[in-house]
This record gives sequence, structure tokens and C-alpha cells, in this order.
Amino acid sequence: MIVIDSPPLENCLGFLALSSYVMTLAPSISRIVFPKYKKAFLPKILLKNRRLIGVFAFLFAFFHGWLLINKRHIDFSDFRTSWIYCQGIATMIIFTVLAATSNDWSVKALKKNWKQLHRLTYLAMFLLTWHVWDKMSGHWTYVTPISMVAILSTTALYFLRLWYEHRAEN
Amino acid sequence: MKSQRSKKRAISLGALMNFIVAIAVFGVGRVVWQGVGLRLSATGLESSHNLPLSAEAVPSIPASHTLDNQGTWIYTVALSPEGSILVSGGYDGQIKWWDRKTGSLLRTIQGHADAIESLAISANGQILVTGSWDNRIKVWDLKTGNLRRTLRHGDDVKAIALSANGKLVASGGTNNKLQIWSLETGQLLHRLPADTWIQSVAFHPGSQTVAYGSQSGQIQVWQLSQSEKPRLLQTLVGHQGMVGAVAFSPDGQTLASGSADKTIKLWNVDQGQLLKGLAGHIAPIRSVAFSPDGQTLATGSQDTNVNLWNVQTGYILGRLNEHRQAVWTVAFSPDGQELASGSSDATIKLAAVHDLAREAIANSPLAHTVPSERESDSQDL
Ligand code: HEM
Repeated sequence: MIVIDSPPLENCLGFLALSSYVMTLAPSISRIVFPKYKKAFLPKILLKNRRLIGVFAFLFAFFHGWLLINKRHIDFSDFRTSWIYCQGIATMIIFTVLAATSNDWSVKALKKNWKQLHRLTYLAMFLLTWHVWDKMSGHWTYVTPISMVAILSTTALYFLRLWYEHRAEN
Repeated sequence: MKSQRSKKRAISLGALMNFIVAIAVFGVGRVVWQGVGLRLSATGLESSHNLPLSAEAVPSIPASHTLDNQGTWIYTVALSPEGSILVSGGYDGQIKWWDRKTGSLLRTIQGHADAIESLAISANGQILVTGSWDNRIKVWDLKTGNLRRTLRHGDDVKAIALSANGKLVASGGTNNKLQIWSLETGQLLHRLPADTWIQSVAFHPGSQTVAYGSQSGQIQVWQLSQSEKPRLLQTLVGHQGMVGAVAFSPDGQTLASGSADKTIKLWNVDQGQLLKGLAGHIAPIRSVAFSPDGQTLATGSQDTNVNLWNVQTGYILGRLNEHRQAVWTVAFSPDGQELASGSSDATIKLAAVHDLAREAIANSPLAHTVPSERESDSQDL
């Protein structure tokens, strides 16, 4: 029998982080995959506030991680911790780097490298799929299926985008 | 005009982000620093003013057996009442049955979808109850390993206990409720509010009294009854950090508590008075257990040590210092001859303690009793 649980606060924060993150990816992916809707209201709004939404993703993820570090006695002096929580920690590092450089000063200072650096965001897609699957298997909450669908469909659309771009280049 | 506004917005957004990143770096740095600090103190690299005696002054207790849990953190162990079986639970949600004499692994069951932080065996040796971060409590047949019942707790289960008559299960965790279940029917009988997360639970050996320790450092003792509503007997205040462990002495008169404030306290249960404060660990205490004769107390700590104390005098009798990581759980064998301890170093150690404890009392008692600063804070409600 499949039983689903109510998500506690820290899981809701993880879910909000993931949702915000997906929202930051949505406009650039949908521009190429669904060019017809490029000028639609939602993609435009998301694109305009992309950095701010990214910072919110970081904030939610930070409090999510913080609460779980306390709740689960996460001990950073044990090297196995880094392995067990590697996806979460790696995503957190990416979010931190991106949030820290999400300002005009960094864009100017890093010039071309800024774009390269911000490509890291796509890596988080795979890390997060792994994170949610690994951590929630066997005890899903109401938000877990939504997270899985959101992150998997974003990944699928991202591949579609790569394929379209590849075709256009040739 | 517009560009000025967007410039202003960018500056304030930039400031906000840098502020957030600073908090994040500070937060993560603090956690890492704490970890490193603990490592140094646990390995003796850092001198500690909390430990008045050098490690050599305390007799060390060698482990007679080491059970290898294949790299997985151990959080909880319990021994069957006749003493032949040791059951363990850990990070991977597996329940393992071990032969106490030979140390061989008898059975492994994937009991839960997440870590098992607490388990208990009934006094008649028939039932095993496990509590997990997957929000479930499971009731097993100890002999066959068959699942009898699943109870849904609501959030992470951090502590469970079985009443002496085997009729009630108490569970506590991060939903800030102490839940009392009927083992027979699986019915939830009571939900008692806690001020915060419940970290430890223990039943009185002779009555329907249950105690829990919380994240805030509070201990509450409740009287349960079949016909009436549960009644709060005592609120014991004195610890200055999370109470990770509570245990009643076999005669039911004393409650021992171990805390993140690195002290162990012994309380008179009836009067709600603090009897003694014991200091000898240099990191949070995660487990306490009385020997079956009630004379000795074992404590396991994140400082990687297990200390054995004389309950009467408060002297340290010996120390098992073979674990390499935090010790989460300690349990005496029913005959009091052996002590089992489980750790994040993925091992369970079994040590012969009975003779050593006697010798140590006769030879050189080392005073470690430290009166608590807030002794007068223990309140009788
Ligand atoms: C230090 C970093 C992190 C740690 C230690 C961590 C830890 C965890 C743990 C232990 C769980 C399982 C919770 C449970 O069993 O109920 C979890 C779930 C989850 N985490 Fe993280 N996490 C981290 C970073 C992140 C980041 C950066 C994201 C975000 C975007 C994220 C998103 C999620 C989501 C969506 C879930 C599933 C929640 C649910 O379905 O109920 N986590 N995390």
C-alpha cells in the first residue's frame, strides 16, 4: 500500500527552492522549445525577475539545508556525510556561487566568464533529481511527486532545447 | 530616470545578496568549525577544561567483540531479555539481528525507508519496535522478524520506548508530540504536547509513568492511566542543552538524563529534585543506560567515549575509548556482564564490564561529581 505523508516545514522549503529554481530555468528553455510563447506574460515576467527568483531559490534551499542539518545530526567532520549528502551540498554550493554573483558588479567583473559560471545552473538539474529520489524513496510526501514531475519535465525540455539548438546549428 | 531606478534596484539587490551569502558562509563555517573542534577535542589534540582528569587516569575498558556494520552509522541497539540476541538499527534503515556470544550476523531486514534512530525490545522478548525518520513505527516479531504492525507517527521518530508490561509504546520526534500507542491494537491513545522536538523517551520500570527529554533541555514526566487523562507529574529544568537521553533506574527512583550541555544529571523522580550532576564528557551525551542492578550508569557521547559511572558516588569507573566517531547508543546485557555500544564509526562494541566495575570501585575512585550551577532550577510542579 502506498501511503503519502504531509511534508514538514523543511521539506516545504526544499520544495519551494526547487520550484523557484525550475522557474529560473523555464523562460530560457521555453524560448527555444516553445518560441510561440516567447512574448507571453509569464515567460516575460519570469525572465525579468530571474535573478531575484534565483536568490529566493538560494534562500529557501539554505533554510531547508540548515533545518535538516540540525534535524538529522549531520556531522561535517565525518567524511561519509559529504558522500551521503553530496547532491544537496553540491547544489547548495552552486546556488551560493550563483547568488553571490547575481549582481551587475559581478557581471561586469567576470565578463565572459560570468556566462560560463552561470551554466553551472544546469548541473543542479541532475543533482536535484538525484537528491530528491535518493532522500525521499519509500517515504514520499505530498510535494515529492510534484517536485519529481517538475524537475524531470524541466530536464526533458532542456534536452529538447539542446536538440533544437544542435539542429539549428547544422 | 528609468536607468537610475534600475541601477538603484541593482545596488540594493546586490547588497541583499551579499548579505545573504555572508550569512550562509558564516552558518556553514560555524557548522564545519564545530565539527573540527569536536574532532580535535575528541582526539585529545585540544586541551579541555571540562575534563578535570587526564585520559590515562581513568581505567580503560577494552572491547571484547567488535561487530562490523559495513560502513553504516549505528544509532540504536537493544539486547533481548535472555541476552543472546543483539538488535541494531542505523542510517540505512536496516534492522540487524546479531549473535551476542559469537558476534555473527543472524538476520538483516530492510525495515524502514530511512534511518532507524530508536528501537526497543519488550520485556517478554517477543516484540521488537523500531522508530524511523521515515515517520513510521514498526512492530516486529523478534523471533521470526515478521512485521506485525505499522504505526504512522507524523514526522521523524527520534525516540521510542515500551512500557514494562509491554502494552504501551511511547514515541517522540520532530512533530513536538509525545504519542502513546496501544501495542495490541495499534491505536493512538494520547498525544501529549512538548515544547519542541522530543529527543529521548523512557518508561518507568514499574508503573505507567513516562519521561521524555526535549531539544530545549526540558524533561517532563507524565503519569498515564487507562481511565483518566495523562497527568503531568514533573517538569525537570536544569540542562542547558538538548536532552539526548533519559533512563529510569531499575528501582524506578532515579531518572538519569544526558544532554548536549555535556553533563549527565540524576534526578529523584518522585520529588523532581536534582541529585547529582556528572561531568566527564567533552561533547553532547547521546545515550544513558543503567546496569540491571542499578549500581552503574553507562553514558555514550559524541566525544566518541563511553563512560561507566558509580551511581552512588558519581565516580567514573572506566572508559571505553575505542570508538572513532560519536557514540549514539549504549545498552547493558540483562546479566549486567557486558555493555554494548553503537557508533557512527559503523561498529558495535561489546565490552565485559562487571568485574572491571567492581575492581575500580575497590581501587581508586575518582571524584567527578560536579554540582550543577542551576541545581535550584529543578522545579517540582
Ligand atoms: C546542504 C544541503 C542539503 C541537505 C543537507 C539536504 C538534505 C535533505 C534531506 C535529508 C532530505 C530528505 C527529507 C526527508 O527525509 O523528509 C531532503 C529532501 C529534499 N531536498 Fe534537500 N538538502 C540540501 C540541499 C537542497 C537543495 C539545494 C535543494 C533545492 C533546490 C533541496 C531540495 C530538496 C527537496 C525538493 C526535497 C524533497 C522534499 C519532499 O519531497 O518532501 N535540497 N533534503
